[in-house]
Amino acid sequence: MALQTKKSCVRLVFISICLMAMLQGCAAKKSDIPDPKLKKDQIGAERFKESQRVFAIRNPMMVSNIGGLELIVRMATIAEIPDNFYKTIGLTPPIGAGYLGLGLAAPPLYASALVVGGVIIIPLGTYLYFHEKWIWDSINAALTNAEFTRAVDRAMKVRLNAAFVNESTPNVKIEIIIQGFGIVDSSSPRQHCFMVSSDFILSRDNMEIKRDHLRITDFNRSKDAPPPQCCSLEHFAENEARLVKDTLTEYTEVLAEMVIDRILRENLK
Amino acid sequence: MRNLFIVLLSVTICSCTYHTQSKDPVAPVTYEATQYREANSVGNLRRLAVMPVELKPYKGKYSCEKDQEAAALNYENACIKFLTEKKGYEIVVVRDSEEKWRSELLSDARYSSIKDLCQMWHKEIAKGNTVSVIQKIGRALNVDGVLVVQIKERKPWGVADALLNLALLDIPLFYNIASPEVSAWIYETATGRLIWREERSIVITGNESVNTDSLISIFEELENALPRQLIK
Repeated sequence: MALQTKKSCVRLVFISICLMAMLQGCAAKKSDIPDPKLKKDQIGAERFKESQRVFAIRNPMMVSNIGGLELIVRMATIAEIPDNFYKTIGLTPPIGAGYLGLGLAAPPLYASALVVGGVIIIPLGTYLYFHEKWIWDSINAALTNAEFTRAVDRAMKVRLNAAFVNESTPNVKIEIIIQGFGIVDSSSPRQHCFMVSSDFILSRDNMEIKRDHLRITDFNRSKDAPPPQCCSLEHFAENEARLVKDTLTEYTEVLAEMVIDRILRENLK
Repeated sequence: MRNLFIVLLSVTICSCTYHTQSKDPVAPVTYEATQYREANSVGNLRRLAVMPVELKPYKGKYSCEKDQEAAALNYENACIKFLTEKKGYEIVVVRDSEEKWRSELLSDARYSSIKDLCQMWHKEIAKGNTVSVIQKIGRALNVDGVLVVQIKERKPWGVADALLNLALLDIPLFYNIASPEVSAWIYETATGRLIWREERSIVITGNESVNTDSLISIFEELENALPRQLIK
């Protein structure tokens, strides 16, 4: 049986003692993330603007007609991406360098500064910086490059065709507005949750028939919604953010199913 | 002294959390679905049977067997609540709140009692041969997988223990860190294989709510079950 085993504990001790070899290995391996759409060399505000631009292009308002039924899927906001914690950690290696400098300048007086700065703070801070950056880059790339409106539109069409297979579609307008989606803090300090919050509006001849919130969230979740996918950011980022991509695909299908359920309950003719 | 430090460090590194996940595809037996996620995701086993929690207390923790069974049931309920509400799994409980075996769950006429199946499980696990018994239990209960939880309760340290630990250069402390108290295993019905394993060194104290919170943290990294909307 092919098994993947991970053992971890008292990382602090481990990392600080095993330092450089591990540091270089992890940094080289994990920062190499294929990101064909969002350019890697962009940083700070420039990168954020580019994320917004890429996300807007990849998630346009989708308008489709299926018989007499008009379907609109649009995004009200960009994807929620967790705080880029690695920038804060990036401050620790210079602090460690300060300690190290102090220790080198006056070894007898600041022998402990040599150890604290050179052996603990610099390697540990640098390792954590690259590790957190890898996590953030993976998740950011997966969310920014998501085509959520297109995917929801596609899933809706498949399910509408299946729901009205032997009859004509009703003359109504279905609007799905994605109010929020992405990875946010959860009730547990160790976890983040992938959530989607959207509005569903059903209308006929500009008269609203039904309006409902569809929430796959940690709090105030819709009754028919599954629990949101919650785990550590590291787990979300593993294998080129495989879990983020899988969850996105599932949420589009679940959202479409929840909308179809509501439409069928209205008994439209 | 240096060698001792290296030994202690190795123990620490190889301790505390043991996580294993199969890379092979997992196959549910109770439903068919379009693959929307990786084939090896544990969440594909959306209907799980929970075996009675195996509680190993330290001597003198419980005054009678009934108290121990009540504590085990309390831990079991915490796991079930978390897996159902937060992870979306459909849980099949083999014992009810009065600790009666729910033999009405058996979908296979060859087995008359769940208790017999559980006893069979205990015999086979001692021999290290779980594949066939997991398949029998899983098929009899019509579940995709079987969850087994084991908890070892450790006596809290007193002043004497702390002093002894100092005298023995923290060896008892490292030993405690290295020995997991809470273990959870998920087996697949289709093949009887171990699919997911998490073992942690968690301080199980006298406070029940702290204990259950610590216990459910073992499942935090477990992927959600496939949503019911996506099964045919």
